Amino acid sequence: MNAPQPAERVMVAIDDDPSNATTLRVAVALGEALGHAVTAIHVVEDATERVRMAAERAGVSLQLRRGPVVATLTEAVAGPEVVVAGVGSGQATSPDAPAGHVAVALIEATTTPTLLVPADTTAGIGAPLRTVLLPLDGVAGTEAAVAPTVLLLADSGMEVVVVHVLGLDEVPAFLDQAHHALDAGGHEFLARHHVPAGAPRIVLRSGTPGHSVVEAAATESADLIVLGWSQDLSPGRAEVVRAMLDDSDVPVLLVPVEPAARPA
Amino acid sequence: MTPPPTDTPDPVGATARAPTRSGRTAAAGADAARWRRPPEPGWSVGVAGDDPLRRRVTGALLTVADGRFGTRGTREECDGDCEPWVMAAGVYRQVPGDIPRPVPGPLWFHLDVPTDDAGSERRWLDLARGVLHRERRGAWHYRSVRFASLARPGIAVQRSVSDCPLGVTDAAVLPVTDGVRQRRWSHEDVEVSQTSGVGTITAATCTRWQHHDGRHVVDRLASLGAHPTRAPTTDTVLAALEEARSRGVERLLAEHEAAWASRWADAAIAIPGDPDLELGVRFGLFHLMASAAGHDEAAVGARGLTGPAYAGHVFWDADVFVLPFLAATHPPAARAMLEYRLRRLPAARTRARAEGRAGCRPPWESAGDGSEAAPTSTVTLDGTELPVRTGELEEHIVADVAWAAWHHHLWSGDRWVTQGAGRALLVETARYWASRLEQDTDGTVHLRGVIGPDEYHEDVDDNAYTNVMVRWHLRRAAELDGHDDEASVWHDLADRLVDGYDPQRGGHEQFAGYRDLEPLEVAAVGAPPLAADVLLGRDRVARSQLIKQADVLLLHHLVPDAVPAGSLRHDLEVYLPRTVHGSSLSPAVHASLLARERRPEEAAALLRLTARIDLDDITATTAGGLHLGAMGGLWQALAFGFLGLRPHPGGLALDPRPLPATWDALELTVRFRDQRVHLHHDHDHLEVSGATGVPLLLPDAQDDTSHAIPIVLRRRDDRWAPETRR
Repeated sequence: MNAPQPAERVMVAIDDDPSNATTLRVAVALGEALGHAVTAIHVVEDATERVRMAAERAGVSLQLRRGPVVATLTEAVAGPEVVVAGVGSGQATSPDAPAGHVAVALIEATTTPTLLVPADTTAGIGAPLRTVLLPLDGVAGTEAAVAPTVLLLADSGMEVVVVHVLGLDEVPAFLDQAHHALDAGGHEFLARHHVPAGAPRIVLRSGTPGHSVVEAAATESADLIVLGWSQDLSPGRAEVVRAMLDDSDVPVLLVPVEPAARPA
Repeated sequence: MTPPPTDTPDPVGATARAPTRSGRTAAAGADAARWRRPPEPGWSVGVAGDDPLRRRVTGALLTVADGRFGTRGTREECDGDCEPWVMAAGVYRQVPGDIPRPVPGPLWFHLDVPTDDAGSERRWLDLARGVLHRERRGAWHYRSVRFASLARPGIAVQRSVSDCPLGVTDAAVLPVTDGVRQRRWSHEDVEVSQTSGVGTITAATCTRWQHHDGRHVVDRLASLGAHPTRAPTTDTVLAALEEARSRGVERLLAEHEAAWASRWADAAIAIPGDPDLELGVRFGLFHLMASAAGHDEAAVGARGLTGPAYAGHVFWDADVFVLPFLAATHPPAARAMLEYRLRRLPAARTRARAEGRAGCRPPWESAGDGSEAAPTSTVTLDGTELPVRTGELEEHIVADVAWAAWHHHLWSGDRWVTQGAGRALLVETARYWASRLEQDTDGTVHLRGVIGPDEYHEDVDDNAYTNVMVRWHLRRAAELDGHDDEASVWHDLADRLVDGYDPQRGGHEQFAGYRDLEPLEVAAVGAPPLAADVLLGRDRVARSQLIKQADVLLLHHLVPDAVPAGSLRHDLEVYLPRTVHGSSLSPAVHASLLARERRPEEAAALLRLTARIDLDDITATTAGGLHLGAMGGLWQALAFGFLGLRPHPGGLALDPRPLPATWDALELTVRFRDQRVHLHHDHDHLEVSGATGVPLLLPDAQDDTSHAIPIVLRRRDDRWAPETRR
């Protein structure tokens, strides 16, 4: 007789930091949207009691493990039952407080989609997650990677808003009546890049992708950003992810894109 | 000129023929050939295979339409991914909080065609005959022919022939759209489908299945009806279907092809030596002819019947860019477009009154009821919500409508404009101007706070284009108006209205204060066409001299007699390097004027750009529909620019210009006062033939002497004169 498959879950890493409450709150809200249970995980260093209380207040179970923090977390979230990993992105967003090293190391190491939660986010306070922002760059691999997650979120009732930042080579040569032309252009972008979310809205932007996505998240009152990415934070790469880590107070769910499907 | 390829229609049964050895009559053979016609060079636009990213673009390009209904060239089996559309002119839906948008009609052509991934496929639009062909070869053979009958607007036909069985569940698929109700019912062997918003589109379809010689033949016949405010009477739609069914698809195709042959005979174009441009122009003229009905009223949206972009709204594109071609080749269509405007003058009057003005003010964006349909705000690419002010300030539409009416009159002699109900399009709208203009204490008259064609600069004073068009409008209306007091007031206002012309410089200032703006030229930003407002930002562009499209220059194109002689050269020098062509309407206007200025190679380059706008999807919005205004501009550049062809009260004026070196000739056919005129310009000669009753006005005429057709003009240096016949 086959052993029963463990229930799919969100596994969120917490440490001895006051931002735990925020991280757990958003993870729980995401779990509700996805229909998955949430488990907190802590790699024991010290102050375990505060960690236990944080998990208890959030109403989630807690796993304790020992070992090097990043390696241990990476192994834990690679379990077959973990569909989303979660971690606080460090400290409150400000130019002087970039994302924490654990969060950065985790997202570079794990192939499990990972939720990064800024300490000062208001997402999930008193209300379920309502709006998910989906930046799409037009690369087919990115869309395929995020599609299953987006579908789950859309099915849960969340509004999906696609944001596409026009590259210099995409700025239309003719813009007869801008409001109509951009409406038509956005419509065609959605048609070409299948978004499995019923009737998503699209907002077009121009400018630097990172800044534009951060701005769009604020304008659209997004509760969550879902972003396919290459897991490469080397200079000149992952500009949007960097902008999210540095400037956005909106939680972002990073979904690794298969290497073969990554843009050059 | 080589006429468009056509066959003499051979009505089945009209002539008895002896059967051939195969048992089929020669007539049947001719009819069979009609269904299997291959693509013809110079007259076909097609696509090979199926690129999923271009399905919607291809659908728009391959639209078949009859002036009232358009069916995009989507494959029969294609689903929502292909965005199939059946459109009816002037039929809209309204969702609260949104602008009016087109109602999608029942998809009458749907058929389950089995997939064959290993096969090859090609589709092409026969421009000469208005027929969409599809051929698929692989494990099995499939061929279809689709057309929207130009001879019987509202009747659409599709014949499918296949080696393997074809399936159909519902004869017409009903699209699901916000604000649209659906109904379906059967009437004997006919399926009736309806989609309704504010207006309704009804489709009655019947299908005939045949199987012989191993071939499955499916004939789908549809009768389409529409009404802008209610459901069309089903009996009418059903009766049209029965009438068409009794004719048979063979005869329907023959009629349809004959109708297209007739249209092309009045609108023929050839540019031997430049086959790509020639095909591009024919492609444009085809869709222009397919977009406007020749009776009742014709609502010609910016994208016509080829797609829902621009919400199906009617802009000045229709009056200034589309109508001139139709006025010169098929006056009933031009008249129907003016009828659309006339029937909405009550709404225009209501608006003027609400604004404290007299007369009528037509809307910038027009939909069903003639009220202003332009959105009032938009979110820009930097995320800022900004007001959209075109509906509020872009008032030149008032004069554009009047100009279109007068232009139609000049080409056709239609007295409906000067003595009938159409007079209101000039007179009632002139009253608006008279109440709108401001008189300063120094005696000058001004028009303040407008947007001209150059939409980069909003809320400007004394836009030269608008003011000169207003002046032209007032003077034209004064001639028509029977009230002497009013006419004299209009003449007086026109005489004192400032126009931005500086005699010292010999040219026009686009609007008051334009010369004080940052003297930025396009070359410093990039290669046109480009959307400078996106690249540089709206505010920066508004502070600069960069302009979106032909504004002052458009005056020289539309009303050359209303601007000072010799001012074109100055205005080209000033505005050419400052025009970014951010509008698809712009390049063709420049092409026309460059041709006038004897710069044919530069003109041809802009023509080629214009001709490729949709074929190459330059705007990335062709999926939403084709740019009809640009297509009309193409024809105008050839007719007005290279041939100097202008209708006048006294006759047809000609003033040819040099052709590009690669063109062997330019050939054009028009209708002037209901008579066909053919022109053949081969660099050194211009031969005018056709109807003999058309008076020709030639350049450098010493008096009002006109010449008679036929005539050959010979070029000597830059002057053209009748060739002396010995």
